[in-house]
Amino acid sequence: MKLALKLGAAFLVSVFLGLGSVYWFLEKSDFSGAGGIAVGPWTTNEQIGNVDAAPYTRAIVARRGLLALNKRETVYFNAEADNSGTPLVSNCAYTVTGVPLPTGWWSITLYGADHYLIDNPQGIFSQAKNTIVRNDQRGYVIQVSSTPEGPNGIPTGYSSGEGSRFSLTLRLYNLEEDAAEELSALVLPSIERGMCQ
Amino acid sequence: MRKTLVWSAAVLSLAVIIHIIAIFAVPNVIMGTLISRAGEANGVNTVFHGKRADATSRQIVRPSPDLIYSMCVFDLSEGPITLAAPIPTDTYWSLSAFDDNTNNFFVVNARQITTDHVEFVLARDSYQAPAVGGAPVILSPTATGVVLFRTLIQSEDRFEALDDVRKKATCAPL
Repeated sequence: MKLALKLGAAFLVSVFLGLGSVYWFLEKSDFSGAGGIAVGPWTTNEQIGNVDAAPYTRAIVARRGLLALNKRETVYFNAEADNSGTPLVSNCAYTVTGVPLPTGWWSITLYGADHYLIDNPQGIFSQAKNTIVRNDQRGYVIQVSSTPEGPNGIPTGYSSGEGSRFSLTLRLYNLEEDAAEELSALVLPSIERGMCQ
Repeated sequence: MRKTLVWSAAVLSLAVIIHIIAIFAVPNVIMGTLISRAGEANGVNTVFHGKRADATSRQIVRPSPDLIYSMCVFDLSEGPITLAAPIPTDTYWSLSAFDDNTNNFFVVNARQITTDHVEFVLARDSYQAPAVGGAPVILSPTATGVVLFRTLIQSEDRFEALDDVRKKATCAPL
């Protein structure tokens, strides 16, 4: 009887540790594992959507990017921190500065910690190649804050209290072949933190 | 002391095994949940045209608000299905297929198509296609999965026209 209780308790602890570590991994990990690529604050994984993807990459994709296309069609970069590595939070303002990207179409979309779009009074969730207002050098500046100013804003949805974590996803559809071959050489937008409320 | 070490090692070993099994199972479980829920809500082997993603969208994580999605949950256990769609002009459009383990095993986009309309047969990998004629065949590694039609909203004033075009996509038993 005593042994059965011990075995039962040991089993429950194992299940807790085993499943708990999976949950922690899926919530905290980015794509920088096997096949992972980091460009400034942005990370991606060449195996996304790939039949040969490693089990951990496949699990992250299922949790954070279900129905993601493979690299041949689209490359997805995520940023959960700014240029200095500080996590993105909704009560701070950020300036995202980019140059033209070698791709058929691109977009930058803001997501909450639950991986869904954040409600905001402006009803704006993203900026994209077809909507962005460019500067004289064909580059662009996107203001990310609770009340972004200028033509290229993305609201964080912050209203009061403590800010919450958010992330940005950069989608690159139909990358030019040379660029797709060497993702780490891409020049991706910088994310500079400004004032916080 | 020795007993405690043996118990701890056993617990940790079992935890590692459970961790590995769960990591392998997660894609199947999440995809299976999507297939099951979307299939029950919208039907199987038929196209469902989702509304434009906003803050209330909860069916799929990290949706793009710049695209409109049409989805077909497929089940090939009774035989192949046909996929057909008109191709909208001057915008991004793609048809992609995913197996029940999240693998994107097929994708084609508007740039790769020279006609204004596409038609495919989606079948299990054991399917014997007719030697002559018929639509191109896409072979699926699993009996169930999802086909997704993506259309970029190139500009707000084209939304209704693009929405009308994407709603002409079909998915039906052969």
